[in-house]
Amino acid sequence: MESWRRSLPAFAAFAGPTTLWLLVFFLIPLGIIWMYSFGENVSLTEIETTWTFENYRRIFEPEIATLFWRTVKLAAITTFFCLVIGYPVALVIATAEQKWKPWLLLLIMLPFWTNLLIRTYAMLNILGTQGRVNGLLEWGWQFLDGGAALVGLDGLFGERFVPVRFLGTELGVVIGLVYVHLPFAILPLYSAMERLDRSYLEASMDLGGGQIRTFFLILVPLTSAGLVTAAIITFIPALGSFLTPDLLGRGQVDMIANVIERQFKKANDWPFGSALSLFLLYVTFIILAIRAIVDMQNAKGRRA
Amino acid sequence: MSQPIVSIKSVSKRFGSFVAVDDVDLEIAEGEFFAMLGPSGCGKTTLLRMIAGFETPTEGQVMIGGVDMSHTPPNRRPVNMVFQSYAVFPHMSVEKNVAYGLKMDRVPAAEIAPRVKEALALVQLSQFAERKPDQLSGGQRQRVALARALVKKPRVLLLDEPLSALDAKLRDAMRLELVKLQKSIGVSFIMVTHDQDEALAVADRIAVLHQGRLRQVAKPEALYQRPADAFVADFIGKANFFPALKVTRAGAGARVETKELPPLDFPSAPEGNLTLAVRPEKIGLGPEAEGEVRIEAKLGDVAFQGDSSLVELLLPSGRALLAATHGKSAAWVGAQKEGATIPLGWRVEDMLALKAD
Repeated sequence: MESWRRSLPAFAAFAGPTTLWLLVFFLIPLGIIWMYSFGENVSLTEIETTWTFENYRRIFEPEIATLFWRTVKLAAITTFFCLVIGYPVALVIATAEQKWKPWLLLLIMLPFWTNLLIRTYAMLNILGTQGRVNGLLEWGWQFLDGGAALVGLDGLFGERFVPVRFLGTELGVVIGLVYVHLPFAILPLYSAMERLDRSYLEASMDLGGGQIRTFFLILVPLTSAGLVTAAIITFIPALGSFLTPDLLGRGQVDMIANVIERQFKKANDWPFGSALSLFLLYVTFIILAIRAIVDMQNAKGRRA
Repeated sequence: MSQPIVSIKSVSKRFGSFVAVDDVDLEIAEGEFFAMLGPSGCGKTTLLRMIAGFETPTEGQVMIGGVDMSHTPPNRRPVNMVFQSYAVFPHMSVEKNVAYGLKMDRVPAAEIAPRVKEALALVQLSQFAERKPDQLSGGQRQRVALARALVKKPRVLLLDEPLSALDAKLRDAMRLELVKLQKSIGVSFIMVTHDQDEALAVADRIAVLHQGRLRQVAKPEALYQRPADAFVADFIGKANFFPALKVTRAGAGARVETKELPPLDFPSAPEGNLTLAVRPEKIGLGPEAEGEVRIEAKLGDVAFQGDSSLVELLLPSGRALLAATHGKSAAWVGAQKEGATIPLGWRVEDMLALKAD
């Protein structure tokens, strides 16, 4: 490696294309967006960079701030459920027999290879008022209603079945987001558990700890790094979700990405859209920075 | 033997078609330092894990303190284990690690503190109570693991290859400490090791295992002087083997003919195929060599080891023998040239007629 760095032509040959690619397709467009965010619309198609902070100020207007708050809230709830559901799943895979592991992991990865749009439309079919979930609920209701009628309690569970509304509600959007982001949570949790020396768990049992206390006092703390990674890797994309709130929210549960999209399309307010995008990016940076600082402090604490 | 604290009754453990432990019977006495010795894959660790409760026997029973605990989970057994990797919890201080087992047993807090203190004093770690495990050396971490197990006052302490992760010098010191510790607290220790020197040095009794089967259980000296079969003789210490070509039985005894030695008579011999063995230090070298077995060999390499020498001797058949010599005999060997033909001799009673594999 040392000698590579010393040979400039070789280094340039390897690093050059990547650098160019990043520059042309990432840094320059990002720079343009950054310029726009300080600009104003002067005509329908022209934007002038006037270095105004007006676009950033508008983010804090109640209407947008509320949307931002909802975005953070839904992303946080999504993250919470992904961890709570993902942790046991990861544990099952990590403790499964060696020959089953690749297949179980494949099952987790499989949805990734299906287009998100198609998966979200499938969710529409499942969560709709005539959908599978409500079909199942209705079947259960009929069962209960029939039972109630038998003992002379007609109408105990309502006159007729009222389908649960998922579409166009925060509940529906969260269900969709959890479904989409679950693999993001499971994989880092699985890798943390896979790396964990099994003898820690055995030592806990040997010392008199039952399954539950071994889980909470040993397994969870020793996989906390995986939990943090899983939380961040779930929270950040959830924060920028667009398709799920768009389709499952039916325009009634907008998240910030939906607002950003509207600025670039219907509202034709590119400067404001740019400011919103960058603000989202800054929030992401802050989360990653906090994580890095905590990591550094932990490493320092260990060395002291 | 007094009442056994652990008895293993016809225990077998199979993983699929692999037989890890094959019909083993063992009794371990109260206050005994017991070692389970064998090459890797011999089933010793599986046996230990069945005593700890991490594995359940496919057949047979594991009794602890006279109670059948074959299916009792590890957290309900009066035994504690020191793991090969120590498994000291990295997110807890030394003190918390040691207190963990007591907390699990819901011992009152007022009682925990003095017991933790006492346990840390026992392993000379009192001044490290506040430290985190990653601020400790390997040897110190092992002491934490010891204290953590002993603080629970187990009836049996299980040790899985406790010294294998330490460097050679520390290992020797720790051997002596383990023995002292065991004698001072009087708790039974069951140690698993693949290192025969380690087992010979620390244990009151040793069980030798091979391919899941128990080969011999004996005191260290008996294991060396009277190995049960050729495998044990080979595994414990060094030995020169002479496979029997023809065995003529007469009552309990046998006349054994081998390729390289004159026919020899043994007053008793086991059933089955035989092989004869002689330990290197029993072989006399030079004109003063004594004994009924007399042969000649060419001198090969001589490894000088201070107070003694290890001598390689080449037989006319092309095989090499190993002899250990010291004192006058070593000086005489030292004066010989490599390749010189020298006389050897040993007594028949110093030979072992063993069951071959």
